Amino acid sequence: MLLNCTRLTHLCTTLRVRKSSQIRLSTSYNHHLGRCLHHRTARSLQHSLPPPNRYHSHLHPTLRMPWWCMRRGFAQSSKWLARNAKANLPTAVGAGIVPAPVKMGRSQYGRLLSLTKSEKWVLTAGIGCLVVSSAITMSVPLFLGKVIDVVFNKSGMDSAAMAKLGEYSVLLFGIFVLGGFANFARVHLFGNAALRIVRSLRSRLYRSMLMQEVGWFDTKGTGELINRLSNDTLMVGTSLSQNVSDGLRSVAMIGVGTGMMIYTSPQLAAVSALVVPAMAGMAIVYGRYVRRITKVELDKYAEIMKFAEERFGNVKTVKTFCREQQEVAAFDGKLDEALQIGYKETRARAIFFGLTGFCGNFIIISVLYYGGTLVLQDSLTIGALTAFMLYAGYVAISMNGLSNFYSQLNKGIGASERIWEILDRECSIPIDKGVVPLEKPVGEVGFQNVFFTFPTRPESAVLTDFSLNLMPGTTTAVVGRSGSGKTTIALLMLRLYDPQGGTVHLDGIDLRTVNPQWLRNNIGAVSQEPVLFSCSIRENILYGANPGETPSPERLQQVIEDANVSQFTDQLPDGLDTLVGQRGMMLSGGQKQRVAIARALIKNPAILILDEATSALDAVSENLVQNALDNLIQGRTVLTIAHRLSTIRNADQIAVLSDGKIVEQGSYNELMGIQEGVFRELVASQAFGSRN
Amino acid sequence: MLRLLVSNCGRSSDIFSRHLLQPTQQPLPRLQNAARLMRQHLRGTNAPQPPAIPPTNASRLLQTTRLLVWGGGSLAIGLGARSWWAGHRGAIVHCEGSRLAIRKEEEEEDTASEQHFDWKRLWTYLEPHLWELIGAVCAALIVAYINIRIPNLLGDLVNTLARYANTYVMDPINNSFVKDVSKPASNLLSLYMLQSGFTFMYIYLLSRVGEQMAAKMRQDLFTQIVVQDIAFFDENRTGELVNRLTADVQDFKTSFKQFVSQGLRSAAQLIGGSISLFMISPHMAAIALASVPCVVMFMTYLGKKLRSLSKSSQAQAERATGVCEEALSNIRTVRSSACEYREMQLFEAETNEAARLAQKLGYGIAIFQGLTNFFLNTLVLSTLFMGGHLMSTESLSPGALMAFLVASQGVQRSLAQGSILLGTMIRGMSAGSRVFEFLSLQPQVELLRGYIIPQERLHGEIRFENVSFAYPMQPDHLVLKDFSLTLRPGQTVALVGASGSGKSTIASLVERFYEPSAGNIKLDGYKLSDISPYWLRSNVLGFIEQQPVLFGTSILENIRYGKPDAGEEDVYAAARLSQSHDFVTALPDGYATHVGERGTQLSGGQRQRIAIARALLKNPRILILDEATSALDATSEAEVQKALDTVVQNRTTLVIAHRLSTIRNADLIVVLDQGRVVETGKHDELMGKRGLYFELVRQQERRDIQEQVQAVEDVVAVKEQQATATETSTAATIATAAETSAATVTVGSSSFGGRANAAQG
Repeated sequence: MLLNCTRLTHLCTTLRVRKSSQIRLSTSYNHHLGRCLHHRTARSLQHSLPPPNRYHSHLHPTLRMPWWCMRRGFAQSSKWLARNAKANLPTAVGAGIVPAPVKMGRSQYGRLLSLTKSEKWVLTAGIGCLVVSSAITMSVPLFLGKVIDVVFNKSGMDSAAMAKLGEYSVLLFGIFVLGGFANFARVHLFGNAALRIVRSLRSRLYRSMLMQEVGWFDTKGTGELINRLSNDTLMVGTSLSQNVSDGLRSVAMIGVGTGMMIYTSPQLAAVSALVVPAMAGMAIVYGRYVRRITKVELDKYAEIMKFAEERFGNVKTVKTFCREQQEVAAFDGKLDEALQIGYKETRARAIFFGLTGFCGNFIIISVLYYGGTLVLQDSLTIGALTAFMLYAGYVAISMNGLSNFYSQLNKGIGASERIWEILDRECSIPIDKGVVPLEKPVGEVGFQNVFFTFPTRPESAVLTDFSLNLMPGTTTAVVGRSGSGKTTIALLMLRLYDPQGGTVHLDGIDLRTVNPQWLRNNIGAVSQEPVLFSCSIRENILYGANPGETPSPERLQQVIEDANVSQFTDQLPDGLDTLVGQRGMMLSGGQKQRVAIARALIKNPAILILDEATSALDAVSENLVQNALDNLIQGRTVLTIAHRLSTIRNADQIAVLSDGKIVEQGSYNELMGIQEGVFRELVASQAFGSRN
Repeated sequence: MLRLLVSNCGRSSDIFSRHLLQPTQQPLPRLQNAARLMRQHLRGTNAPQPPAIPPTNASRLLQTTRLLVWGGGSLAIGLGARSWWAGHRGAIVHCEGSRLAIRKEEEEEDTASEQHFDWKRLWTYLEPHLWELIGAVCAALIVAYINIRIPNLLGDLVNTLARYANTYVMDPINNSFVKDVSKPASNLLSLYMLQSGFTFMYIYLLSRVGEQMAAKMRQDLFTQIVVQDIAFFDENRTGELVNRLTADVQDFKTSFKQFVSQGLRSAAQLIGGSISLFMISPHMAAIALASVPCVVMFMTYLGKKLRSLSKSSQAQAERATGVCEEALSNIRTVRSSACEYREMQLFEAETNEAARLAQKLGYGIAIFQGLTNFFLNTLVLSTLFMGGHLMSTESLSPGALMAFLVASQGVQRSLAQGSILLGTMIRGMSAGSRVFEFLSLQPQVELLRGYIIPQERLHGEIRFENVSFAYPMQPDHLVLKDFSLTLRPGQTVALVGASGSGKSTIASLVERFYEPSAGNIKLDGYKLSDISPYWLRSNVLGFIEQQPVLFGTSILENIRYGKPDAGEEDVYAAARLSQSHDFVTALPDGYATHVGERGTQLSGGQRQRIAIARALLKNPRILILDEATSALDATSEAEVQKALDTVVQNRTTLVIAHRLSTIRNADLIVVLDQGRVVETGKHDELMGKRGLYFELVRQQERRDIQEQVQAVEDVVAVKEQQATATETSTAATIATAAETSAATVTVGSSSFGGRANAAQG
């Protein structure tokens, strides 16, 4: 069994990857042609920034510091991002010719950054505080160098030296107070902005999920979707919150430190710069690897959570068959696979951190050696060398911070790619687009040569060349063996799926062009196994009301009595406010069906679909509900799917389904008149079968 | 709904809509030079629409656009849209309020039962990886030691530089300088290489420990959840359980790894650096570190505040996950009811609350970091002042000052790391305590504990003795009251009654999904509470539910779920027995067909037959059929019922059904009303009493007879129209059936009814 599961897992993963690629190409195609009304993709076709301007001035250091840090910080950040963009796009041929993976690589950064657009002012303020905080931190070596020069220059008098030292100390104290406030503001602003970004991302992701058609959910487990909403967005949040704050600080300190190094001694700075190409190369290789492995790891965890969610949701079945131990073993196996993937990422990260740390430290040792010779030649003071070394140390520390930032960023990109997969998906059946007819529907439904298969089983045709007309105000019954496609007709009428061939019409309008929300607002459906939500009975019934409408208490009371719900709610201590448990498991099957009937009736639909709506009722309740339904269906178009003859005898027309086709159609008497007909056989089997 | 003109969206509409959307993408004003580069980034990566716009505004914008397009810009349309949205919002608020109110009550209970972090349990997860953990800790300590040693070597270098800087000498001295500098320089280089290697080692080892610990924690969590009572699942949403397996364990793992790697190293460097400072200059070190106790007390106080905030934040995140899980799991109902936007509003409310709580936590962490930053900078300032003073009096060498500064810088970095790690650690401890909360749960019913009845003493007698029961979530509502019943071995007992009279509850109690509130249930004389539930469900009970659930695998695996070690031939035999074999083999993939999540790709009747096969596969001693054939058509039901009639021979069977045809042959029929037994007996006996059962039977029988008479009449009429002569025996049979049914309709007394039933039998 484990081997079988593993094989299926790989197949599923392969299919998922393929689907992602197709989605990307489709999106790119749509964007290129400009047909898409609402762009779902944030895309930066060109990423050009002004080259950094080297500035060299003899102005006073204090006045020069803020402006210098600001400019160098952003220039450095832009250069770094641009470098990565260029690395991902080695050959810039043309926008339309560039292959999808390379283009996606560049747009991943842009898309992640686009999440911050709504917080641009807060982030701007945070960056301002970041600049102040970094500037203050970087001012220490400068002052220290001057102090050392003062001390080593013994030509001055002691009192003069002390006065100068005191002056510097007082100045630093004021700066440090400012630095404390700036650091507080930086962490606060960045943190809150990131939280809002994650909340918005989750909201958009959830909206995008709910917008997908039902067939898409057949291919995705809900556990997997929940994993994207919680774990993946959490990774993106980690990437955008503390990581961005610390990463930007590292970038700023590298920029400022580099600038001060050049200012202090261009020769020493040139020696230190030898390390940069190696750092960039390692970053590129490591970034690609981590991005890929993170996505694989998250896919594995999504599979694990899909497994767990299905077991938790069906725990009665697990317990009925005493499968707790086997379920635990299967879960352990999947976790072990995820563990192996995690090991790969761990090893790569350890290597990267070790090497980048070494490269950063190499700057210091080379500076010490070369700097010593400069001091001997009297072209550099000890104070200047000290300041330079401290700046080099800061740059080394910040490079370590930068490598951590880069690692987290690529993890966030790997996680965000899984989120984009859903956000970018164009649902084939939209939620709220299409024609909204002027008046309520008359209720004529027509199926014309419909061909349908479920998305998960495309080779198994459920309906083939199916044609049927439901005239307004009439009742049509569909009968047939289990699995002959009866329920599928209801799904197509509600437009939960679209047929692969043929058309479904409502009052002459193709359902594909009608607004699905309007369509469903006018159709009441009671399914064979109704699903309730874990709130009160009252809320479950009101759930059926059309959005924007609030039924009156009289309307609610009438529906409750019509569906015979009041019969059992009157005997419950909490009445209509009784909680029904998850999926309504606190109610019996018959009670659930009656609540579902009330939910369908609350909106007073023009079209009614009853799919074995009374199969779970006892004889007494069934009679009562059937009588109520008989009254309610007057003037409505009704589609009845049932096994029992009593509920279909009075139908205006009966369609007999077999293997996805209509084999007989007509009124009860007409069908009974067909010799050796399928319907007559069904009737005879029920009539004479009871005698056995 | 609004009355609007019917109009197709054409090209002009697209242009019009696109024009309307443009104002939302406002050009960014230029204010500061600092923000220009950032804005260039954002402008280069245009988002489809600003994420800050909430979905409601987006929906309203879309709605307004569509209304304007269809209405041609009529002002009345705008007014209508506004009023429509007002009503919409009102309805949503009502629904949200109720569900959120329920959740707030639960939140209060959670707060009351808050637990402390269980350090002992954490140790049980670390112990299996003790050597790897020790290796990681040693490597981290070595890195810390190297970081402490570096300032001293830097000091040596600076002293050498200072000595040569003050005295200019001949070229031979240059050679001496290179020779003198090369020794400390090579030492420093060696330390750097060692630092790099040990950094790799401790990150690798520590991540392995973290990953393995997280995997084990998830395994234990899954185990602990799946063995809980059914009542536990009534109280906890599936999405909330999944969230603990994912986000909470993830938070804990991340926190653990960061705590050990950076926290441990920072602590070591803090201590070692402090010792170095004292060795270099006791006076300066004493002044620099004097204020540490105050900072420590402040950290402790703030930590407690942040911990409770973190727990509230994560509980809220779990709540949001529960809301979305329910909607996504029941997407067909959400879609059928056109309630997608309502679900979005509900999810948005939950995530807004989660973000608000998380922001409060972030605010606290920000305060802490700001104050810590100020303290550390003051440390540097005092060092600078005292250092300068001592140097001016020549009681401190330049190298010593340099070493002190670099060492104090290391201490500063360690403390800064500590402040950052505080937030991570607090978050991780909250996540860990939530994970451990479930790990500490003990089910009321232990699966493996209990008695196993020897095979020779297992007969299959079930006895209910004065049982009363109320569901844990509704303790005021007694579903069963003083219920007593005995099922003899091999006996078929049928339960009938109105919906909600407690029939399915009896099945749940036999399965030990719940424990009775009062009274006893016994199996062959042994109390059910003393028997091992695992053995009971593995060997004794077969349960077929009213709405059976399938898993998202193949049909073969779903049937095999009943008995994992069954061979394929056994699976096929069970499928034939439940009338599943024919439709399964008719599918293109046969038994390998995937049934979709919860079996949605199959019809209700198909699912029920597979569930029957699954239950029969383990050949149970006692069979519980809860509306097992309600979703089958008449032909399939007759065939399955015939198979079941064969299966129930020599088996104790409890049948719960609404269709009286399936229970007519039961050995004993029990009629329930409001949780009480009101009638018991055989079919004939109960009919004679003319009680509730009589009424049920009469109503259903009247309908059945009507159907039969009509059907028979139709068949006879059709056949009589045929010109072709029929065989005498066939005609005689039909005539006899028609006469019998007609007689039944004509005569209303019980005596004639009994004769008719006998004839049918």
